[in-house]
Amino acid sequence: MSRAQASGQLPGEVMMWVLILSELAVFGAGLVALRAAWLTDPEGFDAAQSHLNAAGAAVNTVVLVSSGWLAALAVEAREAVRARWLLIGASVLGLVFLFIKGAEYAAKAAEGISFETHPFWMFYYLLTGFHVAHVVAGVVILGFVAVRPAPATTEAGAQFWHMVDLVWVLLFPVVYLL
Amino acid sequence: MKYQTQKIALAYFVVAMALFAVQVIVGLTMGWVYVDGNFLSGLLPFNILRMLHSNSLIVWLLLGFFGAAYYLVPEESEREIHSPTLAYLQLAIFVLGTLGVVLTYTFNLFEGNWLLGKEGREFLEQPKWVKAGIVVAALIFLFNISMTVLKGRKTAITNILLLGLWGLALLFLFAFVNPANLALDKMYWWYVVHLWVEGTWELVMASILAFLMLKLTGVDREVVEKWLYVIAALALFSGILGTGHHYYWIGTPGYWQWIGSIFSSLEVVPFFAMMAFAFVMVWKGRRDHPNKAALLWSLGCATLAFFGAGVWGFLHTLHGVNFYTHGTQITAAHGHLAFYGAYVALNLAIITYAMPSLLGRDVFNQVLNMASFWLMSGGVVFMTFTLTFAGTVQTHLQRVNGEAYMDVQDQLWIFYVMRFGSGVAVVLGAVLFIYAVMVPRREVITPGHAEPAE
Amino acid sequence: MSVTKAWLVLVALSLASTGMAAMGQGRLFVVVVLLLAWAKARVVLDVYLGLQHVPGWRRGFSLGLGAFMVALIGLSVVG
Repeated sequence: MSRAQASGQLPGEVMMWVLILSELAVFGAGLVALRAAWLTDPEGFDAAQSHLNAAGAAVNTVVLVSSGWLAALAVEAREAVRARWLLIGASVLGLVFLFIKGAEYAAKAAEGISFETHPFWMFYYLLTGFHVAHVVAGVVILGFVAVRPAPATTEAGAQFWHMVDLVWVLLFPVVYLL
Repeated sequence: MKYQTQKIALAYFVVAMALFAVQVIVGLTMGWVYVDGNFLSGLLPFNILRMLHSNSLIVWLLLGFFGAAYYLVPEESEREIHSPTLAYLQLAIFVLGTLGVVLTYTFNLFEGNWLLGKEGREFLEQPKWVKAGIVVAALIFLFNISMTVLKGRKTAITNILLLGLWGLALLFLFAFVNPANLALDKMYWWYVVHLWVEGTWELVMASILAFLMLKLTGVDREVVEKWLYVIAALALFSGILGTGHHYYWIGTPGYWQWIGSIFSSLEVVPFFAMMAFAFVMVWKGRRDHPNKAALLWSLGCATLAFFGAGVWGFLHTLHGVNFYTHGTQITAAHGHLAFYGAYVALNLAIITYAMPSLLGRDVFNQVLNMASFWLMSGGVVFMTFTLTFAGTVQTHLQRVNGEAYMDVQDQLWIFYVMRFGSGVAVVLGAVLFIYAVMVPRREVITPGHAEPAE
Repeated sequence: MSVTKAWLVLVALSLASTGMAAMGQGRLFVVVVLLLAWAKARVVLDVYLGLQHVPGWRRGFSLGLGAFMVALIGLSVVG
């Protein structure tokens, strides 16, 4: 790996890791709160959750980890041209994620489900909505980095994107499957 | 003092300390109203006293920040302040506005007048002309400081300080939004107050603390700057959405309960980072700076801010807890220690650091100043404990058992008596501090001679 | 582990948890799905984010993630 280091230092900018840790703390607290609230009304939460389409979200998991793979390859790329195409590929997959997510939100809206329907849906919209906002930000960041890929910016952009990935692999089972 | 225009800070600090004295004396008066509920009720009702107590606090803290900026920006930017005249004009506007507010409210002048009278709000209550004056003064300040920074050396300290001060001034514009709907009025109120004390002011605090650490400990600028950026990022990350912890019960949608609980719980992190920063810098520092009192105030500031804002804030920030504790004396306990630790002690630290050079004296008055630190801090900490116990009892009697508000207040009397005692210590400490930085021209205790051990 | 191998592992783990979901519910299902998510999170942290090269930080993150996963499993199993 190009960024391999034996010095014991975190790869990339310290500020990116401050951000990653902060985001993980927020989403982690949100997911634990969801499971704790679930205990107060198991039937209601189960009934609400059964309206979700886990298949679309499962496809989105594969889309996002694949996008993360392209971003990681971009960090390793030697030439800027190769890095650029990999970054574009990663952000296009990000758009695919947003498209599937948009279809899911539209289906929920058509069913008349909102923030107020049940506490489950409040958590659902807060957690997935906050995550989607980060996906949008990530697509924009990767797009900007792709214009003129330099090692430092590519690494920072990829780190942000991996954080979005990491949050999703933890969020997906807790919100959609359990 | 390397630059002539740093002298501007002296005027700001003197006015700030005068208002500080007013603030604590009014506070002590209110402390007595809690003991004897009818005290002054015809002459100066409690709501007016509270307005004087909290508004004089805010104004003197702001004047302290402005003074700190006028003192440290020339040293950081390595050039004189753009326009000293504008700086003094700004101070004059603030003093005039403060007098206007106090007189208007104490005597209820121009009742019902759109421009000159009260607005009838619980908070952000200044006549419109004063609000406009604050904006004009803030614009003068931002112009003056920004011009100085832009023309000079740019450092992380001035970057974060300017970010904080610009944010502070722009957020004040929400004070003009005054919807008839009380819930909306409160919502905008927190745009100013919360995003000040748990957002932009934290940036100001971190940068002033960084300046003090740089000067007092002699640690490399690079190290200080790295900490400063991390602290600023943590403060904004947690503080902005942390506003949600004021939206639990005012009629805003239910999701604020979770947004507020989660983000405001993280607000303890930047305060912990500032405390860790201050202590690590002192341990790493190689410089033995003679101004030990400034160091004591700096460390005290970081520590008490962590406990007051961080720990005491977390104590009642989760909505499940706040459902019971909201608006009890727990809130008062948190408010007192948080403001004292984070912002009062910060201002007193920079004043202690700057005053000897502003007055052209050597660093003398260490003993009295340090005594005032322990007296004042001891008083505020004792006050925090008595109010926390009072709040715990109040929460149980009033919110759990459902007893009537005034019946509960009667049962809290003993705590209010103890709080009054701690208030006396704070006032004495404040007077001692002002005396210590302004008056003595030589040390009150002659240092002993080191004798060889036998 | 190379990033490509990490990607293959992540896809395989995702398919496994989707397959589990098709098979049904129950406590065992809950635990297995969360363990699979735990494994995926470790792969993202170690390979995509490069913590495999910084053992000290890797231990810290593993500990935090572990505490979080144990809390989730606990809350999900008692219900």
